[in-house]
Amino acid sequence: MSGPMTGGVNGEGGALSGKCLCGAVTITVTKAPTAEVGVCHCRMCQRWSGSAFFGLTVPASHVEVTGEPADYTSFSSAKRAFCPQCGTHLWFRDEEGEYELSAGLFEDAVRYPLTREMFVERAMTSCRLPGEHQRQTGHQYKAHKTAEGDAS
Amino acid sequence: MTVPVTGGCLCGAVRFEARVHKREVRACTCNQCQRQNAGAWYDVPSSSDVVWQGLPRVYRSSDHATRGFCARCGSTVYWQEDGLQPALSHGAMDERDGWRLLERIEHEDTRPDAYRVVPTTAAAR
Repeated sequence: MSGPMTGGVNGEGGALSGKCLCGAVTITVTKAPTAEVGVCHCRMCQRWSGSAFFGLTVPASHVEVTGEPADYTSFSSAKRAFCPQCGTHLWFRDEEGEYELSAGLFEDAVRYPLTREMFVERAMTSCRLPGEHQRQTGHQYKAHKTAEGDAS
Repeated sequence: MTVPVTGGCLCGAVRFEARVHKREVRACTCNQCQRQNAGAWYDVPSSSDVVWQGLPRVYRSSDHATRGFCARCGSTVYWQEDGLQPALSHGAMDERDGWRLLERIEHEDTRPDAYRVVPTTAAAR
C-alpha cells in the first residue's frame, strides 16, 4: 500500500493533473483550484468510499478528462463517477454544475487545508476531524445550497 | 467471540454478511487508498466469514493486495491482503456508529495536511 504518488502538478499555471489507480482515466484541472478540501459525511458518501468524501470544488470549464469513466446516479440528478477498471472515485457532480473532484487524485491536494465539513451529524464515530473549520449539518448544507440557487 | 454484521454498496448490487471480532476499524492514507477513495480509507481488519450477494469487481492494486468495488456504483467494498480475509469497508456497514478507530496507517510523504483522523476510545460517544 505504498509507493511514489504519481500524478501531481504539471507545472503550467498552477494546474493539477491526476489519474486513477490503473491509469485508464486522467483528469487535468487547467486552472489552479481554490486550495481547500471539503468533506461530506452523508450516508451515500460513506457507503461509496468507506469513510467520507474528500473533495475539491472546480468549475466545469476547468476540468479535462481522458478515458472512459463510469457513473452512477446516486440521488436525484447527482452523479458519482469512477473508473470501471480499478474502482477509483473521480468526482461527484450535480447535473451540469461544478465538479467535486476526488482530492486523493492530486498530489498537491495533500497540502490543501480542510475548510468545510458537511452532514457532520452523520459523521461516523471513528471519523472525527479536529481543527478550526466550518461544520454544517445536512439541514444547514441544504439551506445553503438553496440560497446559492436563489441568488444565481 | 465475533459479532455478525451486514452491509453493502451504495446501489445495493453488492451486499454482504460477515463476522468481525470487534467493532474496530483502521484508517489508511497511503497514496493508493487516497487515490481510490478520495481521502482516508476505513476498513475492518478483523472481517471474516464473508458471504457475498452480488460479487464485487476485483482490481489487483499491488503485488500483495486486491481491492473490491461495485461495478455498478463504484463503491469500494474491501481491501484484501493476499492470503487473508477481505477487510470490509467501514462505511459500507449498515450499522456503523460507535465503532472505534484503532489504528492509523500513515505515510509521511502522503499524509494529508487537511485532516488528521483521531483514534477514538471505547468511551467516546
